[in-house]
Amino acid sequence: MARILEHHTKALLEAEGIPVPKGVAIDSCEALEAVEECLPFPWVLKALVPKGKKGKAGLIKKAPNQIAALQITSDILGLRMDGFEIKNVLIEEQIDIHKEIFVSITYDNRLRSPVMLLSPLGGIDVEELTQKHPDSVFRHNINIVEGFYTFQARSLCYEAGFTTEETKKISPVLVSLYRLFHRTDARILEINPLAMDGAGQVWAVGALLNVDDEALFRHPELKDIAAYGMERSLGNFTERERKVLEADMKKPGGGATRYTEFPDGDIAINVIGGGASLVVLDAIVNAGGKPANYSDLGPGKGIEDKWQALLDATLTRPGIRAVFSGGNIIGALDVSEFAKLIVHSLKEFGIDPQKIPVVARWAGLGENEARRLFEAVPGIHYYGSEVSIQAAAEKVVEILKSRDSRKEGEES
Amino acid sequence: MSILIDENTRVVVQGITGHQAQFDTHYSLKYGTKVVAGVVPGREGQVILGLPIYNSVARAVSECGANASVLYIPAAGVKDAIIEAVYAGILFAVIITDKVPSRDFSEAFHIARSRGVRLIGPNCNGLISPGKSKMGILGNPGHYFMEGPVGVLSRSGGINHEIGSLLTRAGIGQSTVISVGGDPMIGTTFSEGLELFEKDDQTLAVVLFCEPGGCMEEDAADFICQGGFTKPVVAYVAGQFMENLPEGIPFGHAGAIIERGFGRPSSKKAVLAEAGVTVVDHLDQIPVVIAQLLSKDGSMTKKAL
Repeated sequence: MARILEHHTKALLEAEGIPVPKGVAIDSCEALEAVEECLPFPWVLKALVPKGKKGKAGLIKKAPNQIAALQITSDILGLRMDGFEIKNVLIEEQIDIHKEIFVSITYDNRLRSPVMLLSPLGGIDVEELTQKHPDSVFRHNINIVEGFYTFQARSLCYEAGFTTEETKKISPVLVSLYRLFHRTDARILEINPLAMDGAGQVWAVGALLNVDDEALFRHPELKDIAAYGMERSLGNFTERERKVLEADMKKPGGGATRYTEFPDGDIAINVIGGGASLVVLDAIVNAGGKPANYSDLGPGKGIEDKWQALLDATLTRPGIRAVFSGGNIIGALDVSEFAKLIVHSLKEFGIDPQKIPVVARWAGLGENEARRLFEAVPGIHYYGSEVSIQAAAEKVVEILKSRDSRKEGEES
Repeated sequence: MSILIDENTRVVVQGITGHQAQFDTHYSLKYGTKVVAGVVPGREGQVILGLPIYNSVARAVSECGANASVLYIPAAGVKDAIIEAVYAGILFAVIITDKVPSRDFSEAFHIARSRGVRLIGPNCNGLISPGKSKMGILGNPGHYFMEGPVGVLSRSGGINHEIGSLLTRAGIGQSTVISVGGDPMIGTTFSEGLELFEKDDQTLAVVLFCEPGGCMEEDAADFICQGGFTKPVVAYVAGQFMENLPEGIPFGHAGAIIERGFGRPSSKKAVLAEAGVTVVDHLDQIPVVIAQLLSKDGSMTKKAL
């Protein structure tokens, strides 16, 4: 899912006719002065990061005046939330909130349908709401083929206990929210809180929008504001992560390439297969090894280029002490083609398997040729379909450990 | 019997000109699948891999009696292609394509379901009923599988080759092995697959390959607890390492994501175990446990194997 930062989400909401607080995004304390001219105090300041739960993290603050605003801005800018550096702050007018409502639209995977959740208990996060107050959450399963109509929104509001006056204000907003959800190919659209002020006017005060990365091809209007692939990183991209992502996006129709670095690992992982990649990581972690990265590659057009990008990233990571390369028994392509690229890259990056242990488990179509290619390189531990992917992944830790204990023995 | 496909399944390949489509069709024909036609608009009258090509699925149905379809259509065209197959009278469609937009799949799924059409996938590598028929990538080549009593449902297509290979090397055959797809929303879930395996006489036990994210494992456990599935089940739950990382990051398949406190492998293991499922920690244990369960059950007859 590609996340859209809150100020962009607010602009999309506004364009859909949903009232949002007036706001400005800034990137420095110096920019505050200009904001003062167009936005009267009090303000609400929010860190702009592609993450939820900002309130809980102390990244949403009220500022009654200029001094407070300056203090908060200088405190927040440059901080990190879950690895993401805060580069921008959203400044908004403070709405006089009398009532907080929760609305979200997501897909229910069980029904394979969009579902709208509405609760009169807004302002608390969704986990707490659904776990502690499940009786206060009301749902409407949307028929995606037929659409979502005002009378359905009204019924949902009445069911949630809103008065007719409130229902008149809320239900058109719900219809607009679904229109935005559908139109942008959203996966999650959450307004929390949808606030009601003293005059009974509703405002989208907190807004979270995640759109479907797989639908971005038909949304040029979102291209510059959707953080594609960002959710697959543990923080701002490293140089290597960025390069793999670029290679992936060059051929968007082909197999998906995934590469996520872990800070302290020393075993380079290049793996094909979504399930296999999970099995390999579990096997290595459970055996006491430290993976340097996660990787996965799905079959498809342009797969060789993407595989090369993964090899470039995994094999050039500093501090690598071992390599695991492989996948499940593969029926989608000839594995010997991959064997060639791996053997070549090891040489190119100066990785000597006699010094840095390499375990290769390439099985399936082309297995015999792959075996021949790997076994021709001294030091590569090759396994075919006779050893399961899990057992093969455990070997790399075993080899690394026995090497370490041998070294210790030599030193003492 | 096996489920979903057998020697009577007549397959049409939508998008047969694609590289993966031709690759798989070649192996499917070799395996004995009754592939009867391909569909590529504008290519009617041509022949690919010895198969007649038609402009529409409707033509493949009327001319060749196709009753199942395997789709290799680029993601942007998948919704239309599924609905075309449904309107043409296809009863069963397998969507190999990865990266299908959720909105498109949701719409196509509801249209298919309203007309009684079953979907497998998207983002899957197909299925195989060993000795009878195969559709998609699974079973290229077919020797990792053999006919027998074990049904397999897996969120990973590739891991089916591992499970098939482990079982086959232990002398335990399979009824039908299914890659249900790696997306959060898919055509046939674990519990829906279990419902089919329950009714299948050939299937005496089922293996589940589970991943983090979603609620399929929990639903399957519920289904078993309610008596919907009464045969032994063995499950492997991958992705334990994700529990020590921040939530909200998908690893591998788009559906493999722990979010909003849900989808943890540890909780999936616990609910499955509570439902009486044997949860194993190593793939290599699968054939061992299956053999034990089947012999305890008294059903590991020579005939079944």
